[in-house]
Amino acid sequence: MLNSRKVRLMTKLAVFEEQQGKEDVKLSNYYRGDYVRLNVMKTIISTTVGFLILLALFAAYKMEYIVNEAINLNYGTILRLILAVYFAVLIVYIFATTIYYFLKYSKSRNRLTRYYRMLRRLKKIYIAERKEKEENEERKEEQS
Amino acid sequence: MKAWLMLLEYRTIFREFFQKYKMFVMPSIRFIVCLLSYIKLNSFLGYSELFGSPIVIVGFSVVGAFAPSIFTVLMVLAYAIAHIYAASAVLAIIVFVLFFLVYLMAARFSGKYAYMIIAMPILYLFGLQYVGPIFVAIAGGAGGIIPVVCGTIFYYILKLVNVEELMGPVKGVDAVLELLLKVIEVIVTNKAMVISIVIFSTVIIVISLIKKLSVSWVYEIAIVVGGVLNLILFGIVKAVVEVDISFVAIFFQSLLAILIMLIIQFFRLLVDYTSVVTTHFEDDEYLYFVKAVPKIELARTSKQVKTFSDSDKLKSSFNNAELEEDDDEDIRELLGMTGFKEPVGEEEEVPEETLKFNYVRKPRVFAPRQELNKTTEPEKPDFEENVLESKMKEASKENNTEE
Repeated sequence: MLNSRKVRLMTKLAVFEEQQGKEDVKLSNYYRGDYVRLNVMKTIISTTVGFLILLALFAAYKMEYIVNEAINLNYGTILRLILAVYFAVLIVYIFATTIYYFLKYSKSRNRLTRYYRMLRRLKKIYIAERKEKEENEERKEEQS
Repeated sequence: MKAWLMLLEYRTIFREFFQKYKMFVMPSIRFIVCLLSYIKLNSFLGYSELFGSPIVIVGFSVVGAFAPSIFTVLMVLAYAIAHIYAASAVLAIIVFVLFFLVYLMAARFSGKYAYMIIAMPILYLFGLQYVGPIFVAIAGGAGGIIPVVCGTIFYYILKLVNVEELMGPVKGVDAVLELLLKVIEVIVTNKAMVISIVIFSTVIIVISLIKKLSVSWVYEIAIVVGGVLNLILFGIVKAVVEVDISFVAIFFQSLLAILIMLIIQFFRLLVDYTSVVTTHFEDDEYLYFVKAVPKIELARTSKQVKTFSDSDKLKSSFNNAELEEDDDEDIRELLGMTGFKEPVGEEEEVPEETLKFNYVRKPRVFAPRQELNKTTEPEKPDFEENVLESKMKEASKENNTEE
């Protein structure tokens, strides 16, 4: 006989697993710190590549000036300035990434908490059904 | 009131139609959106005869109707670059590099609204650009700033093709560098782009803050306030700074954006909750094929704020229809409103260390250790019984001897 409450729970669990749960279950494989650190590393790589492209575009924009003043330029100062700007941009991006993925992980955990709560209810239903089945079998044995 | 009820009735009819024919309706809508986007892009760019042919447009639209969203976004970007490539290969490469740069620096934080990156340029082409920030703010929140800003930048990059001096044959490294310089200059000195980015960000932040208020009809208020703020800010900028934006266009487009967003908000619950889900799972006895059809109640049309003062009021304000969802299972169990009885019998085993800890804390040191599942009364300690027995024996002996 069908237990409508069990079917309702299992449906909600299946729907969750097929939709949001896919990403949430993937996130649950990471510790929060590891997940944030992984995305920070991706951000560092993408920010570095983006910064290099920006630098190349800026150099192209100022190419005429650079060519004309190539001998007089203080390359040490320019390099220090570039590195300072790079690290400033990197720190801002790392900070933003940490907050963003920290919040994303927290929201995912909240959804997973609800999912695990439903799983626990399903477990209780299974325990109750098993107990009922055992009692019925005992009664049948006694009667026979 | 009658008109409002009629609207709700029509919405219910649409909802039932969606639920019944969702499998055909959603791809059709996506096909129409893709088709309109490609047609508009073709009319705006239109440099390639191959990509401008109806067969290619229809073919791309058909693919976009069934492909994942991110793939559709990339296809639209590739389509735009293909058109630019037909006019100027170098400009197409520069545009691609700029798109890539914006993606690296900003699009990673777009989340589930990444489609706004390409939706904003399309909305601009249709003159509905003010719908984008309001929609993202209502549907998401302040996080929608990044995809809207990226989309705005993409639109102004695409607008480069309208600059005549950039379109033309490019031969030699000098010419390439010169073209690059002109592109950067056009982008950097584009006041309209910077102003649009600032105003859109402000509108999104304001709408996100209004959304957090606990008032009725909060979404509708947020949409109207956002649209009016958009109009006021652009009006002020137009009066103060020399920008190539028409105030009449801003006025009518802002009003149109408010109207469109109110209609979208009216149907938003319809879209959110009309996704019929089919799934399958199994247990020991049965294999289940389930079709889950979400319910929509008229009472959920807009946010209604209820305040509770005590638990009795809380109990009476809930009804079974509202509490059918398992989300509120805990509340029902707390209030004793559920008919489900917790199974009695199997309990979790208590680890031995905990038992020992409890045993030591008991005052009667000589009490025997009790087993978990036995529901016996606590036994009196042996020494007390022995003392009692011995005293009773002594008393009876004394009585016997006296007699």
